[in-house]
Amino acid sequence: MTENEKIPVKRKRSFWARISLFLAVAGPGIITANVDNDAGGLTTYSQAGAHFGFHILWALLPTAVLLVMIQEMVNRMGVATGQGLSDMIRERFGVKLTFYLMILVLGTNFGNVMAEFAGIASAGELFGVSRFITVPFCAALVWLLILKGNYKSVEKVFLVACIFYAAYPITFFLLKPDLKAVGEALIRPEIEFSAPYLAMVIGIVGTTIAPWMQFYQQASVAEKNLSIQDYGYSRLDTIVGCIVVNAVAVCIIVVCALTLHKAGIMIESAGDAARSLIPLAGKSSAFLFAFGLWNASLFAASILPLSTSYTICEALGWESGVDKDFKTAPQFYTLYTAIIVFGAVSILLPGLSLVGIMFWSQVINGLLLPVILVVILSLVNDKLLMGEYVNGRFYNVSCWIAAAALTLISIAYVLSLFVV
Amino acid sequence: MAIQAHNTYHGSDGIDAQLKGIGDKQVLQLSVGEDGIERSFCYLSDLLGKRVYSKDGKYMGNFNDIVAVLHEKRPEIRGFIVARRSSKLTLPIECIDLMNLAVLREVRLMQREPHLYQPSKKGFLVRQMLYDRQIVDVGGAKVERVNDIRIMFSNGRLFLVQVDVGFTGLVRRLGFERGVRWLAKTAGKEPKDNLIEWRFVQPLPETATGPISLSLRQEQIKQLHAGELADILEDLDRSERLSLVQSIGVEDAADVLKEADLSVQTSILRDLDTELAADILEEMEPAVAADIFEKLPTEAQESLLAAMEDEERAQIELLVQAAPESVASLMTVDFISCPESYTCSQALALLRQYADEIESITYVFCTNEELNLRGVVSLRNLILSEPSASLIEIMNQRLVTLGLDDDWDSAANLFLKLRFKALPVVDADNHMLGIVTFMHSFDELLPYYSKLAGRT
Repeated sequence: MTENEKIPVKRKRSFWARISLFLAVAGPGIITANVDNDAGGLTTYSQAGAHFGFHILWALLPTAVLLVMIQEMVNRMGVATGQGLSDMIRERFGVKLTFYLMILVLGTNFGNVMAEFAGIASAGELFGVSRFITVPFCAALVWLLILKGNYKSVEKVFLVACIFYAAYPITFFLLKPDLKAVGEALIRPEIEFSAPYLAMVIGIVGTTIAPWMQFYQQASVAEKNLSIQDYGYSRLDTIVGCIVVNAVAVCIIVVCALTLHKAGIMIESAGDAARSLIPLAGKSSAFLFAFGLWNASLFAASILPLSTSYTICEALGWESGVDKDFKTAPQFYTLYTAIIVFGAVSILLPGLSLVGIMFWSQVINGLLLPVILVVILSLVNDKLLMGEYVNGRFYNVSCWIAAAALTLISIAYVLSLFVV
Repeated sequence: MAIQAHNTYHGSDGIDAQLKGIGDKQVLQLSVGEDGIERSFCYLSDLLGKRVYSKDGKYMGNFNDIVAVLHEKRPEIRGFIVARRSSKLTLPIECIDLMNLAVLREVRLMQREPHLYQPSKKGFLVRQMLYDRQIVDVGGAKVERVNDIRIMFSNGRLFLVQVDVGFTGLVRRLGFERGVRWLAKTAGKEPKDNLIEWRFVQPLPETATGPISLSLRQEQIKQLHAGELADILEDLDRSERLSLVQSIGVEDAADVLKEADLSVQTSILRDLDTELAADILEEMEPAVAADIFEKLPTEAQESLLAAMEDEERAQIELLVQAAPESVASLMTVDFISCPESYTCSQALALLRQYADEIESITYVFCTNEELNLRGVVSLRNLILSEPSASLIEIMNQRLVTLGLDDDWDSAANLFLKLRFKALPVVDADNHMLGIVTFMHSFDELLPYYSKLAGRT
């Protein structure tokens, strides 16, 4: 080789070099997926299994595929453009559409924040602590943690505590389910035209593919400044996260179907949902469930208000960031604080069904999803923005079918409210 | 500088025009300046979407965009685009009634068959380039999002004068301006406009879509400090960052990148063209460059090294391989040495020649024919000595040197004891390798200084 050799040597990376690169790139996908199994997710999946048994399992497979596709698209957009999703929406669709979309996102995400605080309240009550203590305490904790504390270090604690979800696969195997029946239920769609059933399908889709996830993941990918050369690793991060989350979801539904549905128990409180873990933990099942619910809720409650405030400030061109002071970013701080305060206070209003909030917020997620999906599709196919990284045809066809199917289910649901 | 204008336009030419129309739609307000020239203002959002009719009343399409041409002070609007479905027509701005442009419900052409307008190379589409996009407010050194654009009618011509980045611009776009102003008035407040003068606006066209090159306003970007620019860089998207870095030139880019976050540094260096990235790295202080370099993936490192000059490459390699907390990691090869046989005037001439490129010129290191370090002459000594005196006569031969593998502790010890501004680094054969300067090693050695100071 001469000294002036300017052609870089392409070397095959060693196995360990690949692993270390993956670990450096990983994060956004796995974290987003784990936060996805929040209070709303846990409740919705439990209810699905308890109320409908195996009859609803089929909904998870297409949902999982769609989740992987959607998250992969926003991930690709984040890496290719380095822009957040709301930033792209504003530049592409102008201020009016962005503004109304942001109102919808704010409303939907607020519902999710309420669900997280409902989860915190439920978990506390399983431990015998009043919600009037746990909710204000956790709200203050979250607020301080993000604004004054070191969230990044606490995030790892949350992630490790997610090991709780292993309780469901373990219970799954303890129950020795008829795997053939489970497999069949997974691939054979059964559609029932009744409002509760359709609401549950929308809820499952909405909790698995929550709209905040797209904004959150794209923003964290963009913030990580990943280079397009690392995209393969970033995609792997996304896919692994999505698959793990859906495997857990299947386990939750099967476990609840085999325990609660068989016993004819409808879930009206977190205590009912906890009973699905009795085969594993016996009398401690309530505590086990409460711990998992509390961790999941607090994890999501730390991310959702922050992510929502970023999303909206970015779209409307307001300064944002926890490293700025109140004077430079007043809208950001006001939004962030208001979401937490109102989210927490609304849970303390008398006569609210906590499980109801956790479930219905996910149905609203599902209703907003087709809108977000259409927006994402038109952005990801814009050659000016994405260059060679636009969608392939198979990808587009599947996504449009999914968007149409989601819209149909939503319409069918609204109709079923009047018809039945 | 963002002007918090209470509906007042402070023209840069000293004309003050009071605007009325609060509570009603913000439309054309006529005012006469001190120079007797009539001026009026409107916003781009007042124009966009209006229906455009030909002279004989035929519907042609909607007002879609305006074409501006860069001028000395501010861009002048020369043309506009009428869009109907997917077809677009570019017409010269003279063919519409400019005076009443903003108040009119619809736009009617004044010429029966207007010529099409051919934008020059300097022309750009205002809506496409600025509307809803991010710009740099050079006065306030901030990244802002454009909500609206303020247009001035003066002397029969239209100009872009300000960019609206404030709340009022946002509500105007949403169609709530009237309501919001009424609400604010009822509450006894007046909503503040947040307008940025055009001369402080630095547009950031994306590399892919930008209709004109960014170079248009470089001189303004250059007014910013490297630190401010680095903060701005962190607020931008990838493509905007790239176009900004590419436009400011290698030297400035190196200064700015030095101040940015590590993740921003590495992502920019990876996205840039390898040759340019290598140039920027070469321009940085070797220690800083090595720090960034180490964080790049192996392939990027290889291609960068291949593109670098031999000298800089050797240095980066040396620094990257250096054991942490060894003198090698503090060292720079930017120093001045000359044969000990030189006279003072020869040495001064050499200094003058390189002083521009080399930061530390406090000492001239004198070497013999085998390039062994023999002595040191300070700049002060050089100036004070007879020009004809040879360096051998005046140089200090009691040398204090560091080795590559010495630890930071011993370096700190020497600096603290001797108060030299720089120390030479030599190998086992007393060949000069580089220097460690007090100033550039200060941050790294600070803990050692305080430890040493505490000991005595």
